Amino acid sequence: MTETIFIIEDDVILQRTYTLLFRHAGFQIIGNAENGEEAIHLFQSLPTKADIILVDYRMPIKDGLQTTKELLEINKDLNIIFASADDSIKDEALSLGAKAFLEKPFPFKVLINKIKTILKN
Amino acid sequence: MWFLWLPCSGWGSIVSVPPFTLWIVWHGWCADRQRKKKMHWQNHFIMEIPFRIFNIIILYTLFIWACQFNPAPWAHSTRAVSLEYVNFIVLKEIVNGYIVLLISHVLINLGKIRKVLKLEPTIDQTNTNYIISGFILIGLLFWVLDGFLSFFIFEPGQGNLLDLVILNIPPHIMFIRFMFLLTCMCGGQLISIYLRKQRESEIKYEDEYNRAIFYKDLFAHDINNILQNLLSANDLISLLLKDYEENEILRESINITREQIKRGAKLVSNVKRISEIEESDIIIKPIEICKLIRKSINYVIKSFPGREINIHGDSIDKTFLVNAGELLIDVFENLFINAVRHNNNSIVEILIKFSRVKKDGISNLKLEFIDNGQGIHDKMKDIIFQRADKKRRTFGGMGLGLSLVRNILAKYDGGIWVEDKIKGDHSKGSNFIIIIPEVGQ
Repeated sequence: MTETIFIIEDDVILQRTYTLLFRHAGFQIIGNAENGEEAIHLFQSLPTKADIILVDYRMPIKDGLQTTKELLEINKDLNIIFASADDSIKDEALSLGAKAFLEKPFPFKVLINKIKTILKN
Repeated sequence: MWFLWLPCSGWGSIVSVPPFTLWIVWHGWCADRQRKKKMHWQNHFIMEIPFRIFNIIILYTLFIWACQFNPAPWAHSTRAVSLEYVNFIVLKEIVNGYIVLLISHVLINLGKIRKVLKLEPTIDQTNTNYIISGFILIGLLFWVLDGFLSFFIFEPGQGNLLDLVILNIPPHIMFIRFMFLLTCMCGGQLISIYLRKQRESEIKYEDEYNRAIFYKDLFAHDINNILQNLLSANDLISLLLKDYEENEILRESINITREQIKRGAKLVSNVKRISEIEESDIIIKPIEICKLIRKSINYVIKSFPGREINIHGDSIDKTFLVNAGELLIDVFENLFINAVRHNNNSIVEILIKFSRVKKDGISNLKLEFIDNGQGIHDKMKDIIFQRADKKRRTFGGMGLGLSLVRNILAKYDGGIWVEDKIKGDHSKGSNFIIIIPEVGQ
């Protein structure tokens, strides 16, 4: 069965690059959102739960931390990975319930390894 | 004011006093409200309030004339208070009103009073006029004190207390008191101007500082996002071009792109670290230095997958405790990264030597990082650690890594310098030496 990914990233070029990389790595992208609010709405309308949610921190309307909080309120078992250029929120993100924090820029294989570890556990 | 003409010599003035004082205070408050829209030199105690009081006196004089020429039917001339007494009361109430305004002006600018009155704590930092009010109050206090001292100590029997304080002051005493009051006003004005200028300068500095922090954060964040895009795109290219490993030029191009992205990311990280060091206090605690060195070795080997790196030392697996902090890892990472980058040999060799030295009577751990790189010319040996210095912005080339290393070590009371691996021949490699205080020595 193909693992599913939900990407929340305001940088549309990066969103596109992630999508291409994930597809190439054999994952299925079930949703893309440019901000937290859009992500919450989209997530609630998804027919299946995403195996991994990749979240950016600094986004318009609703930031990554608030989005993580609200997503975990909807479903506390979600696997959320933070990918942000701002490492000052690392501890806060992990304490909220994010499974991992990656500081940008990171190679794609680091992200893939992280996802594999999370899904294995 | 009609109360003053009530057919009683005295109590009418008592009734009139509170409304009259309130009348002055009310005008002072109005003037203060209007002042906010005006320039600093338009002090309301000098400009607005005297003008309003002058208006009141004019109205009051017209009123007295009207009463004299056409007295109220109930104000019998023989039972009304004297004109002299009325004038005195008016003057006294003007002074009273002024004093109330001055005191309230000083109190309202005190943080604790504002808290008690539940006023907003944020007041105009450049409004220092209350200092003038404070100084005038000191002048008035001197005036009253001088009257009291005259009555009790210097000139007893020369009149009653009220005479010596206000009613019957000898001209030379009056001159001294006025001069003191004037000096207080001028002194207050000068101090007020000085403090206002100082606060304006502080606010300007704070604004510029906050702007710089904001731009730094924005820059760091956006550059890292751009680098992430580049790195992801680069990863995608290398995944799609399956045979790129076989094509030497393609492989080299992809590796150069990767390395430059990492270099950019390290530069951003170093800028952030340098400003963190400058902005905040560093926590010093016992740190196991070899643990951080081993971590840094792993990091640098992973960062340069295409290079053969051999970092070794006899004591790397031992335990040495130093008084430092978590930022020490940045010291080793930057030293190793520089050693690899500025090394054209097929194998990068770095030897780490441990020893102990005394500095100012304190035992320091001395670490030598001896490499087989390009080496550093004598003229550059000091300059390489000074790139982040505000006064040295003209040369370029080597990033901020070594400046960060120097700044971090300085925070931990340590130090760094560089020597030639072989004395007199810098081209054979470098020996970066760091010293750092040991725990419990």
